[in-house]
Amino acid sequence: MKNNGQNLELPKRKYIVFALSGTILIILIWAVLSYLKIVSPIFLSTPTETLKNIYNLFVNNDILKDVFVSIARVLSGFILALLVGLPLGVFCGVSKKIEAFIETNISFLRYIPIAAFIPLAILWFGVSEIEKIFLIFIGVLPYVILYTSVASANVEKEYIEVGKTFGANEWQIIKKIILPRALPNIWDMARIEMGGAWALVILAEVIAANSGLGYRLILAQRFLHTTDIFALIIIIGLIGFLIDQLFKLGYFYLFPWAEKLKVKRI
Amino acid sequence: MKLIKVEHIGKNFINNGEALEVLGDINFEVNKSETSVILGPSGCGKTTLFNIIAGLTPATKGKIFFENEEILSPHKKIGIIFQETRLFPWLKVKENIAFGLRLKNKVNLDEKVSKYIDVVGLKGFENLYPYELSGGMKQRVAIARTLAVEPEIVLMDEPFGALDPKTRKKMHELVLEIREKLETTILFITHNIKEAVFLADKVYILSALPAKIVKEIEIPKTSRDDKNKIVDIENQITKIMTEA
Repeated sequence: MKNNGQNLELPKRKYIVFALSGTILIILIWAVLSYLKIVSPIFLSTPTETLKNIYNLFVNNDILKDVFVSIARVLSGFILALLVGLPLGVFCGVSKKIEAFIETNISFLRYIPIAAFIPLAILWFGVSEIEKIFLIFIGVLPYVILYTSVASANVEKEYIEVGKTFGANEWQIIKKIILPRALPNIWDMARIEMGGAWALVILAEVIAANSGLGYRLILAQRFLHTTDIFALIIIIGLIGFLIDQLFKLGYFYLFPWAEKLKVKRI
Repeated sequence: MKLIKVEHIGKNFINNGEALEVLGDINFEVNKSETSVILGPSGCGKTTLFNIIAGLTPATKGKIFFENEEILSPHKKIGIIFQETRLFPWLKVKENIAFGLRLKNKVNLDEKVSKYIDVVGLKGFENLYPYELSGGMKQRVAIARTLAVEPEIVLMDEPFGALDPKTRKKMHELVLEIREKLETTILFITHNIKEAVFLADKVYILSALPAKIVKEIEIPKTSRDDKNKIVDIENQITKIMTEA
């Protein structure tokens, strides 16, 4: 790096300027391709048409209901995966025996594309809420366990020694040292995984559903409503972006101390 | 009364199949209400000895007793203060201090916490996080955190090594004050001769590797105000340390 890695530092305002210029560039390319009809309207709708259609979807087409349906599905599967994965991950992080028992098998699961489970999920649960929640659950769970395990195992032994000198037992060390120290890293992991879960729910809905944003997408494609597809893609992206920002904001408020430890963050 | 007895402690580290003898044959005792200082050159195994007494590292040979009970793992009655403070960054000052108290019966928790905040002079800083504190203040919190569980003895491993001279001086005064007020027994480890003479009732001088105690020096209480006497003792120690 020409300035010794100092390029990792960028004032916030400049950061926003760079981020926005990226967005503007993409919109510009999109505008040129669509307004000049370089790509036919059947395949690519214009930014203004798309914007109008987003408005239309919310006001006349009750898209909000589908937004909530998708969010509810993703949250249910996600929270369930956290409930199961967090304790398992912490135990993997503190015990080699448990790690050996769980992680090897979880790694196998991680390499199976979740789409491969869709036929099985439908066979077991039918096209239902349980089927979708199940898919998100098994899609997210291996990562929750893996990252939580890494975050727990990486807790500095110096802190654990302090706990021992105060006579803390193993359970107290987990509860009062390992968990709070690992939590910011786990939170970041959850943020990244939420993106994966959001993609999963849309996929599950595109394949088999009768509500939700993914279902609306496949409907629009069937009726060749290209502008609907574009509007929906942007809505899906925006919701994902908003969820990500909420996670970042949460980190800032929940772990003000973690920022100062100069942990490398994703 | 003897609080701690160190008997024939030795420690070898195995490095690439070769044993390195870090501690030779260490013997000493710590009396109740006294401040004993282990003084030795850098890299002479002071921290290794500290970790063994703290119950964090096993010794290769020898035994350590706390009130006739052999120490094999950290003991609740032995308070530990590390050089790097090791405050929990996720806890505010008062919660750091309350850490040890919350592990057992929580009677009078708030009362005890505010008592020790007073002792170390941190009133008004209770709700700050460690990252908001200076080095000296962090060490004050660490001291309060250890004192709060009211240990029989406090072990300190070069706790002020990273502080600037002015702050260090203030911390020395704090240690004397705590001794005076709480009659705390202290085992202090340092390589700094002035620090040792200023704080100690008794100084144990360690040799270079493999470390052994080469000399035990009593510092008479009355000499603390006698500048010439202090310089005398310091010179005497310097001589012993260069010869050791």
